[in-house]
Amino acid sequence: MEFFANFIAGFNVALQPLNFMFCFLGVFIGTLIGVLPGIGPVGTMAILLPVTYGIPPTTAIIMLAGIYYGAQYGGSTTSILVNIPGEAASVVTTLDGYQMAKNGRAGPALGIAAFGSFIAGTIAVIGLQLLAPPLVTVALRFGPPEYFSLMILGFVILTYLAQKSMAKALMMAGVGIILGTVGLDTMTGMPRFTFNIPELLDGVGLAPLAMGLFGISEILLNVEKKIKQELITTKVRGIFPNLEDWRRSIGAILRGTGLGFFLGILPGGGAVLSSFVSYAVEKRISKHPEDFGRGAIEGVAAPESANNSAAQGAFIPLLTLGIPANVVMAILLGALMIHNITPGPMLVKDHPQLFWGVISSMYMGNIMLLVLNLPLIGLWVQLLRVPYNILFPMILFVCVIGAYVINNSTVDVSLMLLFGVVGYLMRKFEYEPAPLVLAYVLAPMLENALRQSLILSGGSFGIFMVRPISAGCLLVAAALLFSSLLPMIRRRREEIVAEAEEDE
Amino acid sequence: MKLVRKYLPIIISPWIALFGLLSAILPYPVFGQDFPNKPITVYCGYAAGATTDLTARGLASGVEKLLGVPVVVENKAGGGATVAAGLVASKKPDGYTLGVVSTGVIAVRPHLLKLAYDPLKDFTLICQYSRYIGAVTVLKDAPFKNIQDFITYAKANPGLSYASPGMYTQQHLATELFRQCKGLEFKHVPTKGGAEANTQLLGKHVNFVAGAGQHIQYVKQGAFKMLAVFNTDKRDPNYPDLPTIKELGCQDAPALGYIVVGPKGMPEAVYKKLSEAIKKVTDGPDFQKLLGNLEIPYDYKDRAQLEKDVLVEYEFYKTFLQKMGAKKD
Repeated sequence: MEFFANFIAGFNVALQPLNFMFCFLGVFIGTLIGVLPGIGPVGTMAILLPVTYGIPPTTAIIMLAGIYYGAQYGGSTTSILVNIPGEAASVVTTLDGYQMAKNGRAGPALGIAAFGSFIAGTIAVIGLQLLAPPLVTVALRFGPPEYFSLMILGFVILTYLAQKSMAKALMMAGVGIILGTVGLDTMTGMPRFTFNIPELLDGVGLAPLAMGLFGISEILLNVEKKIKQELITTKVRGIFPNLEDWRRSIGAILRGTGLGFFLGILPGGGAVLSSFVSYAVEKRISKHPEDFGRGAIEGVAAPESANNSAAQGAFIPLLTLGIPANVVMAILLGALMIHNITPGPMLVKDHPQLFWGVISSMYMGNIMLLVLNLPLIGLWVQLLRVPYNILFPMILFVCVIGAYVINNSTVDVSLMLLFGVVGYLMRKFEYEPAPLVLAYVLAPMLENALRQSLILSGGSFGIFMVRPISAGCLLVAAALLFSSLLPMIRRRREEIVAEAEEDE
Repeated sequence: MKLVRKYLPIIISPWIALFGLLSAILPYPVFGQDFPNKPITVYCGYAAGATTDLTARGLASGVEKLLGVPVVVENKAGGGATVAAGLVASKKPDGYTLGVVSTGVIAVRPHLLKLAYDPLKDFTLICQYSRYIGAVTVLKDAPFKNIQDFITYAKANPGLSYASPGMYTQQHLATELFRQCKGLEFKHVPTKGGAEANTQLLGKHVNFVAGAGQHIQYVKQGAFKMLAVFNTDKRDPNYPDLPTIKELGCQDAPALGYIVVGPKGMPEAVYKKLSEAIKKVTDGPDFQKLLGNLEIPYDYKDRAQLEKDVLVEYEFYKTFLQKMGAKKD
């Protein structure tokens, strides 16, 4: 069996003391930066890139990869505990994770996020090992028209995320699209909506936007309320999810893993898109959709599993085609090229010890992360017991630093504070920030794909219907839209919304 | 205060752990006297992992060892590196702020954008160490053996599509000049960069790509082949069979360079110390190996040469972009 031979050869590499040590170092750093809002894997990996000059390429990639998937574990922590998504991929975790924490179930929320991540990570590595070469050909068939249709599907799914008014969600998505067009037009290089502020040429940063809308606005909202502390100081019951939690989560974890893995392979916003899509799917198929947004454990398990398996899936286009699916993969590509190793179709053949060694290290890394994260959960939960008059200034402090360090830009800090106020008003008037952020992330890709497709087709919109993958995505989107318009389903939706409002 | 003392450790301990780890791994040399006696910041005009970023980091780690102070690369991607350039121009010319950008921030972008800096006056040019390359690149199994086949095929099938690393990049402009001179008709698909452009060719969504550097990796792997090189006067020594588009009788867009710049008015002593250190690093075996691994040419120009050449580029792109109908915002 070639598979097992590769498997054993890979572990031989991964278990070498140096590689083992760097794997641990990578996942440890990854967990830390995942927990800290503001500092993401991209910045950290860029800073550590020169360190890899002096170590063997396999060791370097093992460490850098560890930082990336380690950050996916840590990313959920702040989402759950303080309602600030550490990464874009953890935005959706705030919806139910924070509610769980408020209900005194922060422990199980963090626990299921860690277990879900572990299960998803491990399954995805197996998938990576087995499916890497055949899946690449599928990914390559996604050209501009396919991406456009996939994004449209994403936007339709987005309307299903709406907790309350679908119209308000669509309006927020519209605002998100407008925000997403700020910066240089990628087609012509012309600045749009930049108001002669040079920093805006780059567009509005995701971090200031998300931290402002979710974090700062949360602080402002809580400052109004007098006593909330009692909710938080109630004793947290254990970190291990109970049997009922498991029963409800296991399906969500497995579905999230599958979705995340597939979406991770596609270049673009894999981890982000997958966390949103898996959440929407769970809400759709759940027998208790009314629980979502009120602390449903599936709502934590699904996206946290999906973003982890997407993080592993993203290695497929890099290792087999040399296509970086996101910035993190671009840095890994750079790290490989520094060592004169070209990622691409020939990598597995030319550098088998690297390919199988890195994959095997991921099994180890996932186990290390589980061991590392479970005992630490107790420590993170302690955070909730910190009195608000200390916690809020600290969060504000971390947000301001976080917004500043990404680009060392005071403009980003001002933007974050501005979005904080906007987010506060939005919450007051019951506009949700999540559709805005997702639309903002998807908008540049959507626009680019649309314009590129129309160049290819010479201006004809038929191109979206003649290509099978594209037509399929559009049909599913149309079916979803149509079903939401059916009165029966509509009534059900309204019931759900009514119930959700009662709970407020 | 008691409360603060009680809870502060929980909150700041991850930060301390992170910084502790980073400072343990990163090499921190001893601080010297005179210039430089504090960390030097290098703004890189492109994202982490981009070729420019990789060379900037290679350069920084070499200079760090020679000058004995930390040299920190900060990525300020965007606006075709004009964001980084504008930032450098706004700083004090004390040598502690440098930029690694493309000559495009001086020669090309000013004709397209309203910028916060004066391209010809606001910089101390320190040196150029490499240049950007370009080539007409097709899939390995494409039905043309050489550029002549390709031209014949393109004449018979007007409307071939190609992906470029962006609008008004040197690769787009060279392909445009080639198209005009051979009387061909192409559909131009601008992308966000070389990686996306190559992916479109790999997925067969376009007929060819105006390769911008990374395409070489695919050529080496046998997925792509090149038909002609542009943005150069000379043939590529690694691929001596490929003609330049100048040899084909076409005009070419001059190659932009990877350059190191500082704010204008840098003291002569500081400039000298920096440029000598950089020269020593770029000539050294480590940096040469890095360039070799990235397959980008070593093309060193000192300040005098660079100042002369960048003016030529500036004038070329000014006339050419006007002719193409590009309007300044």
